[in-house]
Amino acid sequence: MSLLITMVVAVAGGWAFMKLHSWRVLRRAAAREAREADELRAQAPATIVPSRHGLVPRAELVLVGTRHSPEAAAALDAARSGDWRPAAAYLTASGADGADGADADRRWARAVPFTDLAVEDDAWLQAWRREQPQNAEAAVLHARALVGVAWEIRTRKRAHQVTREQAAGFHRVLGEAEAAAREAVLIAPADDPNPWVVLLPVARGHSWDNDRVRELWSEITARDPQHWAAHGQALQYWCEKWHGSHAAMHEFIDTAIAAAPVGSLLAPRKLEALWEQYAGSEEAATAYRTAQVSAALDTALADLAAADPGHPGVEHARGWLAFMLGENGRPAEAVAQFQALKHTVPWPWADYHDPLSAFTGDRAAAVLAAPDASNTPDASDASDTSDGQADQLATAG
Amino acid sequence: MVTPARPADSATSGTALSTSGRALTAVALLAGFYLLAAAIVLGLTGLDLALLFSGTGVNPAIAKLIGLSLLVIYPVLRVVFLTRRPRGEEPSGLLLTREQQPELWARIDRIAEQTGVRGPADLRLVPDVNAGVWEDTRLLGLIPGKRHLVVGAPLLLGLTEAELDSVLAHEFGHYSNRDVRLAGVTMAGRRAILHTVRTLQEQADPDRKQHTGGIRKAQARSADLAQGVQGNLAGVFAAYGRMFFRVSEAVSRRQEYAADRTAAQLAGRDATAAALRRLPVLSAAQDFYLDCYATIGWDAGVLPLPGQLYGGLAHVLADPVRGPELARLGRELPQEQSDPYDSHPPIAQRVAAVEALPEDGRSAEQDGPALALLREAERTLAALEQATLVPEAAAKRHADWPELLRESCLAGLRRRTGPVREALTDAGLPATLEGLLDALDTGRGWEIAGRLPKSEEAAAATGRAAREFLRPALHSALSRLTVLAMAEAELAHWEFSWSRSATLHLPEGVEEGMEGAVDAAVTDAPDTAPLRALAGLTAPAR
Repeated sequence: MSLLITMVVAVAGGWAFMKLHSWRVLRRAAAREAREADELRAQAPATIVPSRHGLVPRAELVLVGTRHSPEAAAALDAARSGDWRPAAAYLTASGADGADGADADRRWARAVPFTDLAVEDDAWLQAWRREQPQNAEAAVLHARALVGVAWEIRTRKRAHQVTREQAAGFHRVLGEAEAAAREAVLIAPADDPNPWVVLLPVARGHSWDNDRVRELWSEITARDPQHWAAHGQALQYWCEKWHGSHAAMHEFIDTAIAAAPVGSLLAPRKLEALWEQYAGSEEAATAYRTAQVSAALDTALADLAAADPGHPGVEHARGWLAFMLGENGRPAEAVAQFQALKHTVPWPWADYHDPLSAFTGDRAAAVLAAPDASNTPDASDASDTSDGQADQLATAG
Repeated sequence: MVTPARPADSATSGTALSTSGRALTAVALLAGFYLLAAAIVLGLTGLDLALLFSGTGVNPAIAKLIGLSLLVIYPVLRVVFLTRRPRGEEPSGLLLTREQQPELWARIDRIAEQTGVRGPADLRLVPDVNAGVWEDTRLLGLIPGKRHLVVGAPLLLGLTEAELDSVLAHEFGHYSNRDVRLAGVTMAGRRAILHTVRTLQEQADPDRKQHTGGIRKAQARSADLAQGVQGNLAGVFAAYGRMFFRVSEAVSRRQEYAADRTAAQLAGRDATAAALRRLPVLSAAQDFYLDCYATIGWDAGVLPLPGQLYGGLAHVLADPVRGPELARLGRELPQEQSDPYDSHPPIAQRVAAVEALPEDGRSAEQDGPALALLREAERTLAALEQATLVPEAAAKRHADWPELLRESCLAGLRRRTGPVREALTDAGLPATLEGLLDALDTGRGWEIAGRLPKSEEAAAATGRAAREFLRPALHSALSRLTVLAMAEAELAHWEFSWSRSATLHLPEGVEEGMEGAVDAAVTDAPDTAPLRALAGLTAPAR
């Protein structure tokens, strides 16, 4: 028995000593780490001065969708204060300005900031609809805003992180959105694809089966075969995390690109598809360097070169090109896209946690990697990086 | 010492010799358990004293070491020696004398005689699905004392007379098998060791159970250390406990099988198997009945009529829908893995053992329910309520089943409409359906909804999304206030049934129109007229 007692005491005592000892060790380690961090900070980070490379300084960058034409800005301000008429004039006037195939796309794009506003507060839109119940733009906008509200309730989280309450609200409001879209179909001209396009996110949220979505898709493409926004929505439906697969997604976008005339800007959507497939995966770095991606980039570049500069998808295309050219090891071409983007921070960075830092980081990396750059950081001149004049190389996207 | 015999258990003896051999081992191991604890305490105390008087004076290292040893000594002292362990439960329930219940007593005396054991000195009726014989013994169960029998009222309600015989014979059978004497020690040992291990584990791991203060407050700063020590102590005692349980398990299980065989000899094989199957069913039925019928009015301050609180179980058992459902449950006994700390083999194994006995020509069929043995059953069950319910029950009133249902549903509705009525009051409006309808008409609906409790996500939402989070809350608040108003006006009522859960009946036309009317009232452009019309309210003059 005494042996047992001795063992208990010895074990307990030894354990307590180890504990004290390891505290001391830990404290020492923490001090060393802090010292090393200070040393690292003292070294100049790799920075560039954007203006030397034809790039807009960080302080002047804005997220895509936040800067509007004076006309749109005035209409948004009026709507915010309850006057729907300037918005109605702006949105319906656009019906006349295109007259080509991109008309529906342009109307869709012009309505984006108004949709965002109506998601927040739709008093002005309700007033408009009471006054003009047969206005197709207002009817489509109402349906789109309901889709937006539904997603606000759900948030963009993965399904398992969405609470029961959020899911219930999402499905309820999405159901209202579907009803509103079907009402808009009846109000809008028979050849207007836009009310049908609203049903694509409804199909995604309500998990329509693939055949049902193919039927919907034929309604849309019968009215506008290259509807650029619709292709973005449908791509999401067909991707693996929603209701398709990598194969189904690529088949969808490859078929669309093959059928579209050059300049439709559907080719850059292939870059989105590649990103959907590889983002976050360990193989991303090597996957983006393959010949498949290089070829997709060449097709997208040719598509962009042929596109109307006023096409609503131009900034989006440049963003994906800039991103994927960088990943593909073509930094000089990436820099050209960064230059053309001017003040806009587009997708994919717009979706990042800290879009501006990620964007300027990738931009700096492209500049530093481009063969015609001096390959030395502009550190000497970047005495003050806090004034937003210099881009610091990001350590993580 | 009180020796509890559990409901209907069983274990058979191999030979009496090996059983008592194992029981003696268990006694020795129990003594060893206390010796182990005493050795730890005395050994460490001696060491501390030696350190203190070693002449080096009290330096920090020695103080630390002593402090550490106290961390070991204190829980052992406290847990093993000082705390009052839960004994077998104090006998509660209603004492039934021979004069009051001659038939039941005659039955009991006959079973005792036939099993060849000394009968009980007294009999208590209890509310649980349980039967058992207690004996006041001394010296760890070695010296015999008075025996007490308890019988659960649900057994009288749910077993036939033959099945009751079987249960009683099982309990007496433990005493006829002469294994109870040392088994008493075994049981006491099981309880002591279980208590020690579980208490130490709880203290080592406060997440397992909210700790009950005391020790830990004094040791707040060295909490981690203390938890580590107690975890290790629990480990030491648990290892000892595992050895003890291995030895004692075989003992207690053999006893259970032996008692089952006694019961089968006396009450018939089929009646014994039927009783064993019936007991888990009765247990489930009783839980269900108490939750869904007997106590639904408790918070509302209403109890069933006297005698019905426990007696109402008979309605559930006799119900043409629920009765067969419960009977099916008995035919499909769960093959549950038995609790390693439970002294009983799984009931399915016991049924199998009994059914493997040879045919004895006695069918389990059809004598009447055992309740027939109870004189003045209604009055006796009412007395049982008085003997077993907490004192606050006396302040509650009694009502028949339909009224009990109505009162409890009304109370439930009042409780669930509490938040919206509070919100209305806080907003300076009457806390009624009309108050909420007026609020909706005057554009204050969202203000009221905003005062209701909401989730983190709802609170974080802005704009229209925030409103969509509130809309379902407003919808259900309005629905509930409508039903409450109708029920209070006796326009709506709940249908009572033993076969299914209560059904709410709204007036003709209201049932179909209500959902749509509530929907219309909580839109962004509220229209309360349809709901007012349904509820028989007139719109205010605007």
